[in-house]
Amino acid sequence: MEIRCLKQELLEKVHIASRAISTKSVLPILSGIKITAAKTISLIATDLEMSIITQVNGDIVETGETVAPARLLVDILKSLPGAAVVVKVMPEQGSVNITCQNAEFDIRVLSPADFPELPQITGARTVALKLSTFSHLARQVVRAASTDEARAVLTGILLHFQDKKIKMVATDSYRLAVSQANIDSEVSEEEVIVPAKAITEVSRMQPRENPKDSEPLLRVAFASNQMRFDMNGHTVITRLISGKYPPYQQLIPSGYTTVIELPPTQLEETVRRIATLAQNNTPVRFFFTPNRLIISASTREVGQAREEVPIQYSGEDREIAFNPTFFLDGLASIKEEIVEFKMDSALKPGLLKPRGDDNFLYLIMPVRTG
Amino acid sequence: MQHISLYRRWRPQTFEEVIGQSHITKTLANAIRYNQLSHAFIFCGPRGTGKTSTARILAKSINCEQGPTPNACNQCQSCIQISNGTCLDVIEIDAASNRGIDEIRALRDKIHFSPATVRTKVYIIDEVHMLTTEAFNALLKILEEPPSHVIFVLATTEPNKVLPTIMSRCQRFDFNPISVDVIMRKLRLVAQKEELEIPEDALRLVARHAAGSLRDAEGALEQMASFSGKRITVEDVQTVLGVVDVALLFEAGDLFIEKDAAEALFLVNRLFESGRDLRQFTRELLEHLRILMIIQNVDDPRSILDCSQEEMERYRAQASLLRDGEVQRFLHLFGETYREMRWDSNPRLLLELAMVKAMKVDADDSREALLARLEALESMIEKDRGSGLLRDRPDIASRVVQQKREGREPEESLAPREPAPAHGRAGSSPGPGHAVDLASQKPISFPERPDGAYSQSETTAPTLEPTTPEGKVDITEIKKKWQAILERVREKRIPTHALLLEGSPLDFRNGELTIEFDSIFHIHKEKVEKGEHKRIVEAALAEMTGEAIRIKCVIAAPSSPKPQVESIYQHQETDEESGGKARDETRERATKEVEKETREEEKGDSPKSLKNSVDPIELIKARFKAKVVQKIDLKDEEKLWK
Amino acid sequence: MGAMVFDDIVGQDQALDFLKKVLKSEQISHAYLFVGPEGVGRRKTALALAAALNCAKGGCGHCSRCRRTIRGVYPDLKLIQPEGNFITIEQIRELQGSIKLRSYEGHRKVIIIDEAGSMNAEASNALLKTLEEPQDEEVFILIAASVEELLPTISSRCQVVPFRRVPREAIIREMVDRRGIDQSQADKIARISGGTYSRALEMLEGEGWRLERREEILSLLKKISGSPVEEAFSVAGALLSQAVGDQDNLLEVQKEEMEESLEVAMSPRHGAFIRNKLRKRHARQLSRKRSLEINDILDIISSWYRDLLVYQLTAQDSFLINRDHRNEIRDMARRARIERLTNVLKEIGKIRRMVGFYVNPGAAFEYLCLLLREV
Repeated sequence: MEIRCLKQELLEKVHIASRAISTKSVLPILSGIKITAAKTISLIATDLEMSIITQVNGDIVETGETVAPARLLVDILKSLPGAAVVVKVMPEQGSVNITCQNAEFDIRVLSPADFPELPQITGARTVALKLSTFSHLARQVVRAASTDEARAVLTGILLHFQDKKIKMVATDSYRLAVSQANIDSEVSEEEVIVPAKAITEVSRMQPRENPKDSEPLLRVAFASNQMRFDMNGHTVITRLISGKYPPYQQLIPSGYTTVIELPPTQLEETVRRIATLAQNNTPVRFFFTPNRLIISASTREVGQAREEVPIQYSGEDREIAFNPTFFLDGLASIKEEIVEFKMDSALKPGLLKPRGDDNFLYLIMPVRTG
Repeated sequence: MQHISLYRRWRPQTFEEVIGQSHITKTLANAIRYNQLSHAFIFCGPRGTGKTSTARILAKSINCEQGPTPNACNQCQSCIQISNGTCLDVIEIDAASNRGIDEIRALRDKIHFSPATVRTKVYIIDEVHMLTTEAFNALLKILEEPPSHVIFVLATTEPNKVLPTIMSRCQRFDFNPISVDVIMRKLRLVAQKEELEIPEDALRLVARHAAGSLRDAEGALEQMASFSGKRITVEDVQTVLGVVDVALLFEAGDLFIEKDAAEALFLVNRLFESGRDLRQFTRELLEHLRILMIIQNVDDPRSILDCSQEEMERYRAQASLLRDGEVQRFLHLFGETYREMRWDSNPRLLLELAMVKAMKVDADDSREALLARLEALESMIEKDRGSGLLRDRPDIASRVVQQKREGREPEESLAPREPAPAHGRAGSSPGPGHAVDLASQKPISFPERPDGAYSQSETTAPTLEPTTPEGKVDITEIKKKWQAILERVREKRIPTHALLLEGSPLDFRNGELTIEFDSIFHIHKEKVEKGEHKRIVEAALAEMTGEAIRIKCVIAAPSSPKPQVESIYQHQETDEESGGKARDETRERATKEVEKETREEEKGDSPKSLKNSVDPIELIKARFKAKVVQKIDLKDEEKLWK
Repeated sequence: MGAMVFDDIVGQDQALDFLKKVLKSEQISHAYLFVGPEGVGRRKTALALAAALNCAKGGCGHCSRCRRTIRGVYPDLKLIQPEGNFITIEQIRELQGSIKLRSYEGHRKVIIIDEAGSMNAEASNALLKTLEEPQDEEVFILIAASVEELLPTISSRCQVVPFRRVPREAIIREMVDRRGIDQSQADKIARISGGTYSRALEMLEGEGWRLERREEILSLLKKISGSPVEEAFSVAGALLSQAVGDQDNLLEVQKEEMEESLEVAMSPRHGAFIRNKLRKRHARQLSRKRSLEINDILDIISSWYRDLLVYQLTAQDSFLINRDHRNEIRDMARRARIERLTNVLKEIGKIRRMVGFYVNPGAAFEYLCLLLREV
């Protein structure tokens, strides 16, 4: 195998591929990046949960493949003096030769035969959507996913396609984020649980500058065990999480007695201020009284804080308490001008959503006080 | 493709379906009915008795949309979600993998959140005994002031490891092992639903094998189903569950009666060559012996034993041909062998040895064997008085008595030295003529040396011993007699002697002797002042002084010089020939003893301390005057063992 | 029968019969527990079962999936072994993190837990829930010496498959038919191997140096009785050097593995992680190797005295271990005494059981040789 390409291009792609490599493995082969030169040049890395494949712009002098240690590759590429690089496999020496201007490196390679085969996603159903749509949804929900491995399904994001709609759901059972968007293509119903890590990775994909076309599409393919995301020669493949996702719709109350509207930034700043006192997960209290929302927190050890926010409200006095971190996480997902903050009683979940937009909602369990 | 195990498929879904625990399910059902439910429960009991199942049913009963009700509907969303484990508010925590304080703190932080879909959050904390002490204390705090929307169900197989303060905050329910009959009833039902054909006898084997655990029973039934398909036979069950053929056990029992060592070795090797699990054979042999023991000792053994009339007759016949103490000796012998097999890669050898020892009491140096030999001796002397058996062998009689007088042990076994021709049983061809059947020719014999365990003097009549009861005892006298006392102790039990060697008599008043130990021998001191060692020392004192004397051990003040005390690990150059050697030898034993007991105390957790405390090379050097010890590169050693 | 992968396994007809029936019935349980002595094929069978569970033809042995499974590189195969002295809770957690995922290749996930008895209480209990409520199509295969090594709550969730010592005849047949060993040599090896086929194979390794070693040790034993103390110590020295002689190879391999693995580490932290893991693994390999050799030597010694005992009591040589030395056994059995033999055998047993527990092997051999003098 022999390829020529720009150093910067190769380095960038090696960086991207490296994100699939786990530092929790002792298998040397999994610390390698597989370079293949066939019709195109591609880099492959995997930790057996998630695999990343990226295409490199360059010339193929001779086809072939090799597996090089990722870290060494990065270190060498970074240090090279010139712009153009030649990467050439030396089969007799069991090494790969990297030259750039007058610098030359010979590094030992790992055996391509030992590299895991990429899963075949054959006969799969596919769907295409804008990357920006996907990334937007991902950013809104991913924080609500659980990190507790004891309930493995909750560490994933539920991805639901139905009727020209994509929906993402995440919950750690203390809050629930649901976000959906319309897509152009018709799709059969699919419901899968995807590791949050892969969702984040896909949302980081960069569309290539492509001035004249409209935004390129992210193609999604499903198999029963894995799924694959493709865009512009960049691929993420991930294993799915097994198990049943809890029936999250049931969590969402059907009606609320108390609804207020506020700019999210104002609410966020206030809660953040009050929360400085709310250490160790002490709840922040929200007291609704005509035309005023009183936000407060107190801890025996530290002291107390209180702030009034003028609101339009004419109902009965009500109080509810939330974990401030969870509350702020929800607010952070709302970029619209006005947020709706709804509640019913101190014991029922509260809701945050953008005004006039039913595509996103964020539900939080109240904390019982007293 | 997915296959759900029987245990999960037939998991009880209502209180009524939980078998064998009606004392619990009725109480729980009533508590729910009258709304008197506690907020914390602890379910104790062995595996497979229904703890987790009951906890889930409880969760459903509380949260059923039709409830709270003792009869959860199993139809509503809540019930279904709880059953299939997707209910967000019924949280099963496995305390074994979440055993630290951080996990319990996280639980504490989350506990105040309202339940998301149901009325009451239920935390099921399984294997709760695995929590660390800190975690237990944190849990205790939670249990002290539980929020009203939460119920805790703790479950454990080892309630003795749960903090008592936790126990006292919970309503405790003890789940019983399930009886063979009840298990059979459930298995029959499952078999019927699964359309399995299985005869009663096979069902009984499966149920017995399960030892009170329904999960084991259903697991075994399932294993049978995958092995045999829809029709399961008794033979299949025997094969799959590895039940040892009873005939083999009776055969072994007959050999114990006939004392036929050769045939016993043939039996072991027959088993071995056919690839049988000898440890399992030993286990079942123990069970066989246990049955014989019960028959020998219980008037109505069928009240304890679960076997047919016919079986009972066979056992009874065998039991009647074995002496009571003999069966117990075998139980000890094979019990020990069974334990050893766990750590040993050579079970055949262990079983062969046990068989030889069982057949030839002389080869067995256990306490039970010594007792057996003593009994034989006694009955012989008895007979000598009566029938005059010993008169036929004046040589033996006089030698025994003579040697006893001299305070020596008989020096040799009394059997003819030259092996007699084998008198093989019918079927086993007699060999070329070197095999010996000592059993028939050697009614008594003594080991060359009692090998440290128990000397004969402990077991023979003390009247033979030169005790010197004199009037009043005082400390001077004890000091004077100390060597003799030590010797007496040594005769009784060498390890005790070795321990006592490091002490010296300090004071005697009110019938209590104070023995002083240097502080570096605090372990010796602690050993001597209790249990077996203490009894032996006191017995020796009684015999040597003629008075009942209690002992009390103290540690010497650090300043007091103790010339005769030194580290047991040092080689002692000043010792006189014989005494020195004996002393060294006993020291080694002492070290071993301490080592052994320390090891037992530490239960293998920190073998390092053992390694540091005694270096076997040093011991051997000390014992054999250092010169001839092979040089070993310790650096290599360390490297290797790291 | 499709399950060709099982063809290489010797003398476990009953276990294989069971597994084949299971495969055919497709009533695959979630957990199997393979119990039996070391070296009778439990691991090999576990890998073969893993292959058969995922192969389209039920374990053909040739397809990519079969081959990768048997080499242990199949992505849906997890192999867990003790790191250091135990299988730890961290290992079980890591396992739980990976089995929450659907299978990589779309078939079954197989998790083999080797030396499952070395799971400490935490790890065992952590495994319980996973065994109880398996998520997907995962199959656990636990390997242990006996059921009692495991918590009863663990073993009660598994289907127990016993593995037996291999009958002598089966080993002989295998040696003669497949390896072209002559009958008497095969018989000798089969007797020494004590029913463990892997041990029989070891006898053939490296031009049979183990067999040579055995001859040397037996000749030492023949003359140790009644010899002077110095002689006994020199025998002990000879035994020790026999036990440690052969580990340079292993050390070399380990060194290489360490270097190669560290070379590709992604970061210093990753490097430290690798170093830590490998060190534990290597230390374990080394101590296993050592206790294996010591055990081997102790086995040879005890086999000798056992033969004397057996011969004396039965006057038959049919099940002597060292039947190739039966003439000497016959002579020496005449002189030996049962009590002494049983005592020596008991002591060897003690040493054998203690070798695993940090006992200095040099001292153990010395102690033993002094004892043997008196037989």
